[in-house]
Amino acid sequence: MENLIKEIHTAVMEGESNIVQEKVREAMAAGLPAARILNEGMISAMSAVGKLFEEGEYFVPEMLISARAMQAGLVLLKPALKEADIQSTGKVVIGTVKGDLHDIGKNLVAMMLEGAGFEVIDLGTDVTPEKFVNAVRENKPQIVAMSALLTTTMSAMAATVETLKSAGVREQIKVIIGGAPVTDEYAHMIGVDGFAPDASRAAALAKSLLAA
Amino acid sequence: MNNRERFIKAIQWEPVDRILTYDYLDNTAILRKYGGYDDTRKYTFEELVEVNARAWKNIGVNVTRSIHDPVNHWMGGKISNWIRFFGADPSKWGVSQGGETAWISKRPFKNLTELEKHMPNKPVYEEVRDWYQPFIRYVQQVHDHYDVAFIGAVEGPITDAYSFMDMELFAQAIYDAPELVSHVMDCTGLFSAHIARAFAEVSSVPLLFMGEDIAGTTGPIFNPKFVRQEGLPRWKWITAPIKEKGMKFLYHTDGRYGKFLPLIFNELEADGLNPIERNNCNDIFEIRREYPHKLLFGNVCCIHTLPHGTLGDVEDETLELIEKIGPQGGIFIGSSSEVHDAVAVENAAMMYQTVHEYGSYPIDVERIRRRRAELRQNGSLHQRASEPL
Repeated sequence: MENLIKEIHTAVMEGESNIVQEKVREAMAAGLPAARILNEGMISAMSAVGKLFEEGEYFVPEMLISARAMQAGLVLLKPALKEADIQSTGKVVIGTVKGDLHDIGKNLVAMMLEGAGFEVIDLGTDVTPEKFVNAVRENKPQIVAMSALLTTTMSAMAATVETLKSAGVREQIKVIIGGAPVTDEYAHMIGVDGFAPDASRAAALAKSLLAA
Repeated sequence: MNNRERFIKAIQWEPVDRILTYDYLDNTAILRKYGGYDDTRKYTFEELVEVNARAWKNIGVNVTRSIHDPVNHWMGGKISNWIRFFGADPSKWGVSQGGETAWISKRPFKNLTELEKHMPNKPVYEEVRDWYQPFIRYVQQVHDHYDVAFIGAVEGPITDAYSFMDMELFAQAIYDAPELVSHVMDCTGLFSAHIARAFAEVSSVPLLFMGEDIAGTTGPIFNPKFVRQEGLPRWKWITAPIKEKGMKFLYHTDGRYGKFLPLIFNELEADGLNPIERNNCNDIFEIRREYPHKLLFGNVCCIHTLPHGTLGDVEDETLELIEKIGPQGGIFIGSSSEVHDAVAVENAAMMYQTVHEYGSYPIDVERIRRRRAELRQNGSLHQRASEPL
């Protein structure tokens, strides 16, 4: 049993989707609880991947294939998780802000958040402030995450925060931001709850905000 | 002596009378104010080149590689090249444009199986040469007329490959189908190598720039082992014709690229760097200390100082570069990456004016320090107010 969890963990870290699926099937057939497979096999593996990324041992491709491997396992686990009424860590609405069409950074953050056990509602790119507001009303997330790659589109983050405020939903959520030109200083300036310089730290930030 | 002549001497580390300015323009307001660009009319390529060259001349930029087109984003040109030289099917590719950015909105593949059916062909040298040489000759001629030196530029084989394949598919294919990555990079590498060869045969400005974005703000995007194994040999295809003619080679990657410097300088033997992003990415002063014989292009911050700083901030940051690196030579001052649309025209102009005002050799370091002290005393600094002299 222990070995199966370890094998799932290793396979996620190495981005081996087929092995993850094979071992998740075996673990489920052996009667291991879905929550344990998820937490000890997959989420902990993605957390290790994030750490290796922060330490400069893993890079974007390694992170992507690990996230893909986790997804492959999650597909098999989802029915069992639902049946056992296992709740996600939290819910995040994510999008690249208005005027900006870059998605790789946002996608990486979404994958790492899923890897950390969050339910992620991805609004895509070029997301207007109004669309963020509607998504908050509809999905009731704990966190809204915004991404911008361009200096010229960073200002849309501030505009989105203002729109969230005027719509009366800002207090219901934590707002986090990231992207190449974004800094901690800018995050303070526009009054959001946090800034993360990369996908791994974004997932850690989201968790710490919920724990606070 | 004109700026092309100055530039040729400066990149050989020969004495010149002043520091030159260099930049990449992505700012329509500058094109309007200094080049006379009129939003209500259509421009031919030839007219656009002239408007750009005029803008640079009038604002005080001496060296460039850009031709800014406010209507058609450069991404469209990239697809046209793939269609023309890689045999890509024009009906299956599309570019969409919005705001100041553009993206590939249509590709004939979404996964590796589909990619395999739409692999690019290797480009043919003669075809690339016949397209590129008239282009570079014409552009350099027009810029020469306005006393601006126009350098050559190619895309790096990794960057062009992940643009072609899409970053996520490229990243996965590194592990799942390395042979496909290798073939695509052969095509992109050969295309840039052909341009380099065509450039080396005819260019009046002996410097080629290669844009290869392999780092982000927190460090490398790709495993350095992959970059060395797949990138380096193909980069050498590009530098070979340049080095053969005794020309210089400039390496470009955005982001925090410190880990790659030994590869770029010691193994590839690049002659210089651009951009040199600030924003917690790179320290130009440290790079100069570690690699004193490399050319540096930059680096007034285009994330903070140029778009959000006061005129005093811009002047101070420019003066610091002149003061600390100028005396040793080998620096070409401009933005840390590009002058984009969020940069106020006045701030860009201040950066270039400062170089022209204080960048004459021998550099008067005392005068610069007096001016920097004055900027502090009279409260002209906002972002740089806490920066020590």
